[in-house]
Amino acid sequence: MSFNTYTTQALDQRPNVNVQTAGSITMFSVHDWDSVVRNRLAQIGALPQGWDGYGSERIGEDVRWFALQILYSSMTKDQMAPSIVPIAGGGIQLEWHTFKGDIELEISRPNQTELYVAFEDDRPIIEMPLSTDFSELTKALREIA
Amino acid sequence: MILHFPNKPPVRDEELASFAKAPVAEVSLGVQLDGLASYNSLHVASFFELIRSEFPNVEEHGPLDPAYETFGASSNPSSIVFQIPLPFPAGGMQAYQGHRFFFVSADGRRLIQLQKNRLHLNWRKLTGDEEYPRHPTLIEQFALVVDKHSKWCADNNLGLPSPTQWEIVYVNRFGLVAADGAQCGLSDYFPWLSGMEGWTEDGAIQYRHKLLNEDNEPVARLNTSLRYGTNSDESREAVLELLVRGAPPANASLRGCIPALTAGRNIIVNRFADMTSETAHDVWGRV
Repeated sequence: MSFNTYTTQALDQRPNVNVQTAGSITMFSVHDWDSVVRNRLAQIGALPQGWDGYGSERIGEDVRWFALQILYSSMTKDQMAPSIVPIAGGGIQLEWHTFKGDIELEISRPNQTELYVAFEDDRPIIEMPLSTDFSELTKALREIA
Repeated sequence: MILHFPNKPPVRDEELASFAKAPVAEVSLGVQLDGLASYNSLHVASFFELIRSEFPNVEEHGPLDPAYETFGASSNPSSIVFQIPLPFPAGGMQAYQGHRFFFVSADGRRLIQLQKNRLHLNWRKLTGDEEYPRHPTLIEQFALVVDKHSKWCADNNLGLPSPTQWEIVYVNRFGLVAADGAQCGLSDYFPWLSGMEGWTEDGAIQYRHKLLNEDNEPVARLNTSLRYGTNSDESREAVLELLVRGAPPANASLRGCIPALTAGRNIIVNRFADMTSETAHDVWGRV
């Protein structure tokens, strides 16, 4: 596996390394929510221009990849997949609603998101912009999802 | 812009390591971007005209997927995912990016990579004898490419390019031989690997470091990949890839990512020096 694919040749000429891992190991399997999220993001990506009847833009690949990246850096493998909805202007919103509270993360474009957390008890509502550090989302997910 | 590891102070420019014969095989400086709503592949012909005198050869390649560095708190061992592994199912994930074009210099050593949401400048070794042209030269060339790209976007009403990530990668490739030419083990170059008995056949090691900005916020990541093995002539060789990728400063233009790229390069250079041995430094002529 490589971290990038945009180097042009050095990686193609690297020593022929063929590292195989035991097929019986399950500890590093794909996250449980992965396929659900991926399918939903692909569905949203297929929406046409003007999908909402008001001329909204298509939901771009960058926003969808950014959403997936957020989930991989914020969620454990067995947490509940979010509901994912397109929003006007080409963004998407991730939502978790349980009996413990509500979490919504609005993603306008990569690095521009807004977090909203409402707990079922009387703790104050959290509303904050997030760019690259999604630790607050992780904390909220631990409690709610 | 300053980048530093969470447990280390920022590196000052005068503390940067330098090597007379750095084993750099390829360098890539680049940005990911959005905002080019009107872009299509036909526009690329007019970009080619702007750079054709320096980069006269064209190649077409498949598009690169977006890649972002984000930070949370779920890095327990069973949740680590270095790179999102699988393609999206059918649904048009890549349709709008179009192709990725390489515009290659006459000698083949420099190239520009262009796709709707990417712009990169690469330098690469072809024969193995070339001298790495050094970061100040490459960053200056990349800034000129960025300026041409921005002008091209404006002249063709493509939209306003806005960076979403910047990234810099160094690929180092070297034989596992001591200064006297004798074959040696991986731990002779990477002393933190000492303790393994005998020469391992081949392998791959990957790890990541979070990088903080001057306000101690996580904004970038150093991704390290070390692969090694044995070539068909029985020589042993290693490839060390150091990549720093991060979010641009708020409201930055593409050119506004230049200081971040240099900060990323500083991280790479000193990390490279820290993780390699004095034996290796002798081979590479540490200054």
